[in-house]
Amino acid sequence: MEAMFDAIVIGSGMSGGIAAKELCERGLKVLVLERGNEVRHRQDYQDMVMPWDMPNAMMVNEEELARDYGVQRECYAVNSLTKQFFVKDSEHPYTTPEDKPFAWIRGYHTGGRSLMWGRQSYRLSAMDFEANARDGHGSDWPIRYEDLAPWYSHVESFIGVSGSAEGLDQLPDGDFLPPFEFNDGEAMFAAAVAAHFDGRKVIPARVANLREARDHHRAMGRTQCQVRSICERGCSFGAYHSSLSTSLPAAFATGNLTLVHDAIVDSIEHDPATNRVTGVKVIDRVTKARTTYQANIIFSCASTIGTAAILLNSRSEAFPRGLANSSDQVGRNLMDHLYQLLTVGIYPNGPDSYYFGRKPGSMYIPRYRNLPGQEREAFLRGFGFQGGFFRTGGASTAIGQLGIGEGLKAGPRQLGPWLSYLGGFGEVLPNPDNRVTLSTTETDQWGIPIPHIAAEFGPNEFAMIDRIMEDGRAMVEAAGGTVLFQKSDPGKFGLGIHEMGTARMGVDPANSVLGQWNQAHDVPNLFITDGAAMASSGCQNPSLTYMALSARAADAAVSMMAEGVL
Amino acid sequence: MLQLADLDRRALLARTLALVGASAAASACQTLDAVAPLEAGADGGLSARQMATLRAAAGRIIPQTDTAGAIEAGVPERFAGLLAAWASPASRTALVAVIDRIDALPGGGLPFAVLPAARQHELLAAFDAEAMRPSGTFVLAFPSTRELPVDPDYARFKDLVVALYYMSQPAMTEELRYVHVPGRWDPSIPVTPETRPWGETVTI
Repeated sequence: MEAMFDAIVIGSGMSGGIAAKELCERGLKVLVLERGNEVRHRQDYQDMVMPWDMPNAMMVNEEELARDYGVQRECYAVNSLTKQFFVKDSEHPYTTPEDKPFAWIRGYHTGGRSLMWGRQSYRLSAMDFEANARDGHGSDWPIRYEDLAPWYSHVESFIGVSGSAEGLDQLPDGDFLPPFEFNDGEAMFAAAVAAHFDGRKVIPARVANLREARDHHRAMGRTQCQVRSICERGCSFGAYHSSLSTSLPAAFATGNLTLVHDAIVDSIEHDPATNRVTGVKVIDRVTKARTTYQANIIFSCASTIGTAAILLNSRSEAFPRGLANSSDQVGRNLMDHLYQLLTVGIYPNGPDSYYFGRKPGSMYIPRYRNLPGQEREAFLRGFGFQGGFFRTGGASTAIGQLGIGEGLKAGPRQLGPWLSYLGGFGEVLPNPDNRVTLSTTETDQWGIPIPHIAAEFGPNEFAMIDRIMEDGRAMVEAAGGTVLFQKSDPGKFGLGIHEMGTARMGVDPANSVLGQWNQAHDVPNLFITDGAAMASSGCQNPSLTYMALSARAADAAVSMMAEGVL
Repeated sequence: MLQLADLDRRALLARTLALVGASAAASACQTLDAVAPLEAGADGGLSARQMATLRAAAGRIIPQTDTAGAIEAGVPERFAGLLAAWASPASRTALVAVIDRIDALPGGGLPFAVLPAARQHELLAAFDAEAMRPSGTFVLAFPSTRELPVDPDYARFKDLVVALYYMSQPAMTEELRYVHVPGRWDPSIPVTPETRPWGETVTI
């Protein structure tokens, strides 16, 4: 039977959008399956709503929040203008062990989480790709930094990443647009850190927002960032990268893309005679009608947990534990990042200046511990910090205050001292016991077994937390600040919203799922390029790596098809 | 410039979380929620007398000065809107009860809303001082625990009034400053005696 499409991409989010674009631009007829509803670029955004017109002062109805968003409400970006971009947990259940809560923050719609992502964009480094081989945790990455470097550049140029070249081995530079410069509080802090801590550097955050729009950005209708800092509502200026603003329009422009919404993937079909995947079984979200789409190659970009669930639900005589799972690694090694480890400082003697605009990213402190050649810490791997400075004053200085009347009203008029926040992001080791499985007793409304997610932080992560808190305090104090509070509880696994690792890449097919081209060891025409592919997590925000892997794998797949290998 | 001692940690935390964005501490948001836990309960609306009390109380919390106060900014009407469209039955009951308690302040037998402004201020300021007093009860908060005020329902009522005011158009554009589409990032501008902070959305 002739395939309906050259390629099927499961998922239209961060990875799926790039995979679709790259495949379409190489001439393949591509079907993208999106399990959620359609969201239209610009028409379906709420970014022009003024603060005084926001429904319920931006708050979601309390009963609705409790009933439908029990998990999603834990995400900072959920409010009355964005709730439609987050799943209703009541409609998409999963289970966890009682003592291992997991927060699965999701968006099922065109573009997935690329619409609400944090836009922080950092490369992994040579050190990160060698980490597993060096200390024995996880599978050895089958690629090294040099293999991915040109694809990082390819993606950075396409999506637009603002940042500064710093020449750091642990955080390679890229093809950057100009950075969003430090405000004076951040500049003060950066100077103090440089003066007091050898080898530690505070740099402008690298964000997928257009500090300036290049010709190829403008050609897609994108303009420079308007410095509003309401990105999670969607951006009518197309000033940050999302699948809606960037990759899917590029794919559509080729004339080769078909995008189907409300297409919930049940499983992937496998032909044991040829050892090829042949199609994708889909259930319509609304009608529950079943369809099977066929293609020559399949890319799964359904998200780390979504991809694992699809593979595990694609059982056959050839793969009784799930598709491409001869290694028994599918669903295992679920990672996130240590997150929420906050140090907040205040600086009564900071510079008396202000700023105009609300920039979309502030500052980043790349990893500086456990670097090659350094004395080893009490933990493996490392961490970085995201943070920023702002002047106090305004509305928040009246919230929770004692008193009423003119005295209360006078406070917010005054510009207060600088406040800083430093949030530690730590690497989480791959652990085969942190695992996604499928329920044997519960199914969702489409009859698909629901995921069971069991994950927890381990001793290495907790050892790292102590150092993160010590370092956060030391940097605030070195800059002349006073620590207002710290938070050393990492919170629930998953709240970093950086799930990774459930179909990891590796050299050895016996302990990994994917090879050097994100191609399943077991099934040559199956590619997985979302977070599931990650063999280790680094401490950097991972979306840029997913996109680079997607572009690289798409290029490889098309070459293999041209060579007749696939 | 405000002094360090003037700054409330909870307010700063809320401000911090709003700015941290992708690196926000979501569990801290939970912590804020935990300050006023929700229970199942009955619903309720506002009578004309309750609406008058709400208007009077909002006007005393944020009075008109050289700029609009809470009444002129439409806060009472927006508050009533929240009771109808946002609050759970339990929250609505608790918040309406706060309005009734304010109405019951000793005004010589008169409703709070008809008292002279000076008397309203005197009564509500005393009520506020008592209600916002630390209770000795601690809840999970940054960095470990936070002491609740003795009257968390009133504290929430007041926070809503304040937040609605500072997210109103008069407050954002006249009391403070607000530009929805800045269009550029200027990292350093001089501060003058006329400089006022930027208006912002407030996390309650």
